[in-house]
Amino acid sequence: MVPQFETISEFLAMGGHGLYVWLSYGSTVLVLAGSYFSLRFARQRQLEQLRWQASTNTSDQQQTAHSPKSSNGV
Amino acid sequence: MWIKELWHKLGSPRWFYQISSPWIIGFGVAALVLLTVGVVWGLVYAPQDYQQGNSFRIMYVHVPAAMVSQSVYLGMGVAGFVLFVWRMKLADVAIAACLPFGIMLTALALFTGGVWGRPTWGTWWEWDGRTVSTLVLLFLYIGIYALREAILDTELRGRASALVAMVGTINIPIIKYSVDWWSTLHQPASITLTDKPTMPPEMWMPLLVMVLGIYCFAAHNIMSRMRVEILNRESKTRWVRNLMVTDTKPIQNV
Amino acid sequence: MNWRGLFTREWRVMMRNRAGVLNPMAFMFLAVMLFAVGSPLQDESRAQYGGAVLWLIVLLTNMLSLDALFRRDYDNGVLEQMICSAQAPFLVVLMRVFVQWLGSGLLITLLAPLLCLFLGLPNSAIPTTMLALLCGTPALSLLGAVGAAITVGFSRGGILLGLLVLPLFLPVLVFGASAINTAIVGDGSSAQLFWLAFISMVALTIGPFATTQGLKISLQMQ
Repeated sequence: MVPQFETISEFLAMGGHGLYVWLSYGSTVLVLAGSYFSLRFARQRQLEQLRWQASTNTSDQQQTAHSPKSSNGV
Repeated sequence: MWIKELWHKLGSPRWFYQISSPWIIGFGVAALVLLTVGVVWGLVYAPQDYQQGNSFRIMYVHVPAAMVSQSVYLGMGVAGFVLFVWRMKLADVAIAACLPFGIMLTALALFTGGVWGRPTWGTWWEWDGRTVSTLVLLFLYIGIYALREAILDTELRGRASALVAMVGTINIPIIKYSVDWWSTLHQPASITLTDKPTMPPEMWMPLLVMVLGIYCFAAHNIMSRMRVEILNRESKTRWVRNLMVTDTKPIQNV
Repeated sequence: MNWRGLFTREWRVMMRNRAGVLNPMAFMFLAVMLFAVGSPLQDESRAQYGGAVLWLIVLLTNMLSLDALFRRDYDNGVLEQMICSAQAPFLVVLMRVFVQWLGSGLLITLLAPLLCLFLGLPNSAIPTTMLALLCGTPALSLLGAVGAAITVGFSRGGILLGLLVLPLFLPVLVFGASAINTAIVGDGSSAQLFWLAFISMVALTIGPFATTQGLKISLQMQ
């Protein structure tokens, strides 16, 4: 297990194939990160909305602690 | 029989929601570790290919994406079968969760394949056997997606897409074979389950790590999307309301 | 209802609605003409593309005739009666697809010499072309019926039908075009013909079942 590249610039150049290698790795990171974060945001929005709905629909004693802004974990 | 009990429990989205959280965290951590190790190993430590030079490192993202995109479709076909035979609600949730991720991954496989093809074959796009198979897979995904968009009723939408996914899954072997009929340029499959790999271990080990990593990421992503989907569908039920109100500990945002 | 009763009824339905058969055929010859006009006239390589173009046009023609397969009966409620009252809806569906194939696949097979002539294919390729069409078109009707059954509930199901069904038609196109191309060169193409027949057999085992299920789903949409 030895690194195949001596310097950073050599690593970035990838023996002349830098554009292709970084394009494909970049797109992969983009897709994976995109699907992770878009889901995370959707989930947060959904939790906020559901908590708000729940706090308006249920009985009064539980109502005060759960406005959409103050709930934990959001 | 514990299997039968598990089967009955699987029918309930609520049960899945309650047990899935640790699994999602586990798969997420595994995916993060495996993908980090795999990318560093593949980019820095794996030896150069004597023919392709460094451009072969694209393989470490291209092959996992192509493999997992097929597996996700297969999983959708299995979920479709389960939905059709046992009318299991959770299976429809699984189909809905597999679709967007599968489409993204298939598109990624096509894109990285094209980028890899430029230095290897000298063209961005080559009508090669596996390119065509992947493109057909993308169209199969898009067909189901369009069908789901067109049907409003949740139950019918699930059953229709399950039927199409099943028919598509049965046809995939024939499509693959027919496309291989005239395929020429691509190198033979890199990892096969039966044959010995033609690559040296220092080259295919990182590939194995990457494949496992993408599988874990897929499991993480699909399961968490299923949770979102379940809450959407069951938002009017009592257990979701109770979960939102009475749960004192913060709900994990996975 | 016995086999013969089923067949005669479906046959009469098709005969009463001749436009459903004739319009796709007109489309087919129109498409052939457009290809012939669009391609370079005195080009030897036209025969090389002939097989692929012929099959592509056959796929599209079949898709057009599939769109009308269940629509009329779906709209006026006859389909519901057929599926609900029949002892074996499977058989009803199979018979309807068979009659649709008579009016599309078999008719195209019989017209194949004409198509070969228009597309510039050599006469020696005609028998293989007809055999390939005979073996391959049942798969198109059977698999296409699944898509037609699922999309019959939408007012504009045509484009969705194509999206669902054309990827499944790809193996038929590959083997069909390959059969014609080898026949043009003068080689035997029995392997491709066997494959086409095999695909049709697979389609026969899954198609009618899936079509029946698809119709049941569409009927609930009404």
